[in-house]
Amino acid sequence: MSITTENNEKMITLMSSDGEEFVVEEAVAAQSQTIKHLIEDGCSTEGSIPLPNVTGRVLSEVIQYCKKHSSSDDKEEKELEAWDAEFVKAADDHVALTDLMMAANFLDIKGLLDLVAQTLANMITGKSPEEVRRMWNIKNDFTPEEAEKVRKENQWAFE
Amino acid sequence: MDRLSSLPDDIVLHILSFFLKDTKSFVRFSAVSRQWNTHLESFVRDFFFDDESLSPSAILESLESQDVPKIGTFRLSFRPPQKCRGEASYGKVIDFATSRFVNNLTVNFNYDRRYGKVWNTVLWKGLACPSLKTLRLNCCSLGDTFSFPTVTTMHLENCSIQRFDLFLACPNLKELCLVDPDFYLLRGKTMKPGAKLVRLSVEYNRPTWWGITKISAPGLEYFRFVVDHGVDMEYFPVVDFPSLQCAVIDAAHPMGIFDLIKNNQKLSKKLRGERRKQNRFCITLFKLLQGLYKAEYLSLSPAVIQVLSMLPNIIERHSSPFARLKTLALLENPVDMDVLPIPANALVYLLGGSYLVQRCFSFVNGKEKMASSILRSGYARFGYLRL
Repeated sequence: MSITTENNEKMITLMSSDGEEFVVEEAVAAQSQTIKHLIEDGCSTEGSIPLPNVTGRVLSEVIQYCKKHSSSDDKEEKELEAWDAEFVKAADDHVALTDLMMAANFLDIKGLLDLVAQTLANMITGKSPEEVRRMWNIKNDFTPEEAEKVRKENQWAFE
Repeated sequence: MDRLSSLPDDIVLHILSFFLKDTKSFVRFSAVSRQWNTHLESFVRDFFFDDESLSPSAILESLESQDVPKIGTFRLSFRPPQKCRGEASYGKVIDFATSRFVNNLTVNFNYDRRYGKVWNTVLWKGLACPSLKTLRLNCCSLGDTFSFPTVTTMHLENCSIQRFDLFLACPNLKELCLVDPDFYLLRGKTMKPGAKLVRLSVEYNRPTWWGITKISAPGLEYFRFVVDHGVDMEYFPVVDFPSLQCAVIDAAHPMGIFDLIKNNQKLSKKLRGERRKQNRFCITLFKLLQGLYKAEYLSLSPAVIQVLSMLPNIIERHSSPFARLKTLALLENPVDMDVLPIPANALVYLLGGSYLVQRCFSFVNGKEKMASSILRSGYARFGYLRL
């Protein structure tokens, strides 16, 4: 269902995996290549667009980012950068950031994806493989022999 | 969404792509899990610069234009245009490879021999790379300061080695291949690799002034010694290999040696000198064989058999040293392609010491030919050998 606002902006409704609905301007939502394609294919006219991979909490953050970036074309880049920095800071930990990155990946929003990936990359800089594993609860699936081999071959990188 | 059990591939890839310029972190994360390891391996690149006409600055430019976090194999061939010129710029190319933590490095300095040993120290500073595993160098001079503590395989062709304690400089060396080495500083001394050296191959394709005189390697399992045709080899090294398993001695006939020794006619003074030289060839070759007493597999060239048959008094006085021999192979005879019969006394010397011999064969046109024909002459005397 499309709603038209007073300044003639087309609005569309996004629905998160937990059933929350968000009404946003089409220009904002279209920053996501995934949603843009859905709109072009005519999916939006029939009601809200379901986004089964994104929870409401994450979606509200994504929309916040998209709003900022669609309305700030003419704003100074510096200000936008500062806003981005604040934005990822607000997401506070790597779990939230990872959720955000997965959503950005699914929704195909390049700017957000790069921003979050860079933040996560900064977080793991200088960390040991064990710390990285703990961060994302990754299972160490090397056999002891393989692990020894990898470590031995790259001994210099651990020093 | 079970976000914490595993990250999707494209997310991992995206995060890792930020470490393309930070090789150390990049490689360290390969130990996180198999998934991460595979992604990192996909970024490792190999480079082969075999076109000698490429200038070092062109090579550097093409390298720097790409995001290469880690180099696996790097091969660089060049021909220095003139003495000393361009040395530093080629050094920069090698520095690039080592800054990306190269594993296997090949540098072919195809220099003009007239310019001698100018390609020297500048380059070796850059080679102190902690990831280096395999090093292949051609036509260069290893100064007295080099040190390759992580290298396990080294292949040196036409190199002069100016450091006496080569094996202290390379303590982890497992495999060493020397082609036409110039061991000026090792003349008259014993070459003593550490216990880690397992394979050693020495090849002479050109005449040399400073051969290796003595090798003592406690851990060596494979030994190969090749002397090509036309190399006027004067002496062979004395060896001591207590862990030896396999030995290949591929010595070619020195020119004219057999005619000279056979003739009993009076020799001129010059020819007598030649004869002394060739006697030394035979005797030192025999001593080399004595040092291979632990071998289970022995591969000999026809010339070695011929030398043995030239020394009937000596081989009949010595009992066979090869107590553990299982296989004797005769390398292809390049001269007449025919199978050479082993004289009886040579056969006693080679096989008589071992009850373990199971196989004895000759290579003819690259294929194995069975024993009976090689043993033609001597076989009858060895009823107890079950070949």
